[in-house]
Amino acid sequence: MSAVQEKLTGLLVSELGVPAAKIEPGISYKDLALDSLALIELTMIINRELGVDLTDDILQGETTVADTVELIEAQGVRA
Amino acid sequence: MSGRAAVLTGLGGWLPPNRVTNDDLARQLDTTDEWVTTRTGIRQRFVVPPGLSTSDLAVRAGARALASAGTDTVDLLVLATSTPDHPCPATAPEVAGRLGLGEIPAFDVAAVCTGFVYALATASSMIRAGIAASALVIGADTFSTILDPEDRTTRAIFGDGAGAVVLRAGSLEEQGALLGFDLASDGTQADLITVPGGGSEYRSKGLAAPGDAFFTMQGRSVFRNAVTRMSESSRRLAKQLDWPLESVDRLVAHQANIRILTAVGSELGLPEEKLVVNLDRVGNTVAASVPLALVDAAHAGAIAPGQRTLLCGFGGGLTWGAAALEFPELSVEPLPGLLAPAESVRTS
Repeated sequence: MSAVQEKLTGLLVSELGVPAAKIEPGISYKDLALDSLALIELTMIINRELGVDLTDDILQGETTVADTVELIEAQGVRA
Repeated sequence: MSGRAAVLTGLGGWLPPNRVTNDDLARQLDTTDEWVTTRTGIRQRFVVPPGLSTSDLAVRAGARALASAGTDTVDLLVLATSTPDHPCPATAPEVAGRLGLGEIPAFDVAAVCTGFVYALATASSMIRAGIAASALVIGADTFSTILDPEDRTTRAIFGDGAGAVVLRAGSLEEQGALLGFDLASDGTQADLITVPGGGSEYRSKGLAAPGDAFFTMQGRSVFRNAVTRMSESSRRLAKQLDWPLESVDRLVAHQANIRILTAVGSELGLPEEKLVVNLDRVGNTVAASVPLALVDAAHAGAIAPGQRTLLCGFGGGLTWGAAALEFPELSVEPLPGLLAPAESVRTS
């Protein structure tokens, strides 16, 4: 697991109460039962904790954990 | 710090009689109590019956605030609203007339959900400048009159209501003195919260689609801005007053959504018991939201005299701002329609 994925997993668990056992690279936020407000909350948390600048609408229900790691790493962050 | 200040001496609020629960909404729209409660924290809201408009709510809230202050005269009225009775004239003079306040200066302030904080700053400044010795500041809105009846999101969030405070000239050392303000706006994001039609732009350009008279907002960007702007404004004002954030006893933030309130509390490091919450019982009442939350908290004893209190708002414009005071001893009547303070809803 990359450092970014580890960090993202930690934030999903600690900040949004997602069960750790459900989190895997291919799972979408819809399947993690995160609604649209939870996705903007997650965006704000990622931006704050990882120092990136994800835009408000970038995380959607179909977005997966792996997609998100890619978006974060594309901004030069390796956690 | 010394000098003339505006001091809070009266507080009152009013809700219209028609209560709409989440189950009532679910009977009309594709929604459920669970959907609304988990996304907003709101369980019910009150809306005007046909025939009542913003001035009617403002008059009742104003009368209660005057009674709370033990007075029937003020020499200034500022009404915060973005749902005035008419495009012209302002609603404030009519409210002043109906309250029997005489020929006092009276005008509207439009800053949507930040309206009350802006109006409070306006009245406070006029008192400090010596233009007025007392003021009635009212926040009143009837958003039910501008919502798309088919829109399950905005109909779940917004309710109608009015809240009011009375200010009088005093000194900065007194309990209840308004100690400072932080106000801001960002018109480059005006399109995030808007009623596109109904104004001079559409008329001048010959644009007129019926649906454009309804209120719209872009949920996600509004959510993020609400959290960051209310947090930064509160932080800036606390710093200006040399109040360490941990010394703040109560944060009375615009009652937009429980998840916004929780996020603001978490940004500022304020525990949940310091957050005043009444949106579960009244919804988002726009300019009335902060004073209505104060009425509920004061009546329930959830805010006490001497407590360091930050009020903050965020709304269309975009606009945002904060005000600070040490809460005074006030006599406050409960809101009609709310027999007893219910359990607050928290989702995280």
